[in-house]
Order: sequence, then structure tokens, then C-alpha cells
Amino acid sequence: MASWLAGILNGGRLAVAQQVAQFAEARHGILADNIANIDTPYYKVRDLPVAEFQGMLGKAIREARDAGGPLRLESSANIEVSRRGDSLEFKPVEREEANLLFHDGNNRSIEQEMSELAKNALMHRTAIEILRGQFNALETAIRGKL
Amino acid sequence: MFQSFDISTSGMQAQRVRMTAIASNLANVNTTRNAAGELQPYRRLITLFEQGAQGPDTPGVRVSGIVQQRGPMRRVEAPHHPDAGPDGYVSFPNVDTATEMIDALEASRAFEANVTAFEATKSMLTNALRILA
Repeated sequence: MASWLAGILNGGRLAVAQQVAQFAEARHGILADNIANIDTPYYKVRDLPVAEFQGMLGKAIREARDAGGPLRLESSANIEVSRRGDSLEFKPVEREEANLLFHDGNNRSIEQEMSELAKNALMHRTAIEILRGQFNALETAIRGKL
Repeated sequence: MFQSFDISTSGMQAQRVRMTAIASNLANVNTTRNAAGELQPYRRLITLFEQGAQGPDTPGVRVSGIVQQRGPMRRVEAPHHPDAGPDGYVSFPNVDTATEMIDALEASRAFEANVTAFEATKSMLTNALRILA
């Protein structure tokens, strides 16, 4: 890939929005699993480490900004970055602020799951809209007119 | 992303099966004889849920079984009932209508929650596809 193109595609908002969308998609699956298992005995509510991901992304953004290079994510406890650095693998963790534990051994909270689901969908939407905006801007630049 | 659809579907399916068992319980609330016509009161059916739509360590949920509830039958004094015992009591199923109604409500709400998750998956995917257009 030409270096100027790599600069556009791997640096800046495009790469960040892509990672956020990827995370939101993975987390959506976990939240859907929690909702599907709302009546399963001994099921423990799981989630992806949001704070860990945001911390990791924030660090990578700061480093990329200071060094002026592409966005480079580093693996952390529950998030593994592939060798090429473009795809992430997340390990679900049991939700920290555990809810009330019911007699059937399930610590469900339908309100929390639904609100997390809505928040996560909005986060995904935000990332997607930023991606769209960036692609539209690129398209405008390529065409050379509005 | 597409897996999220299957997860929500497994949730809907499980709740629907549970709803069928509840409907059966409610329909048979006064059934004192079995299918062969022998004197044997209906036993309340319980739906058991298990984690993993395709076996353990897979996402989703599945119904691992529908079992009969143990415990005593509802004894009602009705000496003129054809199925009354020598003591004048009839054994009715161990089904409590109020419990079944609450279970039905819960199952239908849980089903709705899965539908909402499904819709969210759909809109997320549609949004992502709009990048291309």
C-alpha cells in the first residue's frame, strides 16, 4: 500500500472508529447472550472490559499523536491484538458490580442488560457515523468537488 | 455480528417452549385422567434452561428438558365427583393458576427482551452496511 494511503487509512479517526465499532459488535454478542440466558440457572452475567478497552485505545491514540505514526494497539489482560494489529480478540469477564444473586444462582438484571444494550448500540452507531463521515470526506477529496 | 441473531433467536425459542409448557399447565388445571383414560392427575410441567445453544461453551440458551414437577397433588373434597377416592377427596393437578400466569408474564417479557436485542443487532448491521452506500 502506498504510504500516503496507509497514512489515511491506518491513522486518525478512521482507525479509531473501526476499533470502536469492532468492540461494540463483539460486546453486543455478549449482551445478547446475557439476555438469552435471563432464565438459565447458575448463569453468571458477563461483559467485555469496557474501561480496559477505552484505556488501551486512549493510550494508543496519545502515542500515535505524539509519534505521528499509525495507531498501534497493545494487548492487555483481556484483549488480544492480532500480530498484524488490525483485529482484536476479546475475553469476556464476569461483570464486576455483581447484581443481586437469585436463588437459582443467576445474577440477572434485565434493566441493566437492556440499558447496556442501548448504550452499546449507540456507541456502535457513533463509530459507524464517524466512519461514514470520514469516507464521505475522502470521496469529496477524490472527486475534487462538493 | 451475525452470531448475535442466533443468540437472540435461541432466547426467543427457549421462552416460546416455556410458554407452551405454561399453556399446557393452564389447559390441564383440572385434568384428573391421563391420555389413556386412567385415573392419574396431570402433573405440572417445568421447562429447564441450559446455557449454550449448541452445547456447553457456546453462546445462547437451550431447553435441556421439560420435566414433571414432583410433590403432592391438590386435594379437594368433592364426594360426588366421579374420580373421588373412598375418602371423598379428588386429586387435582399440582398446578397453581396464579403461578402459571406470573410465569407466562415473565416468559413473554423475556421474549420481548430478546426481540429488542434482535432489533438492535439488525439496526447495527444496517448502519454498518450504509457505509458502503
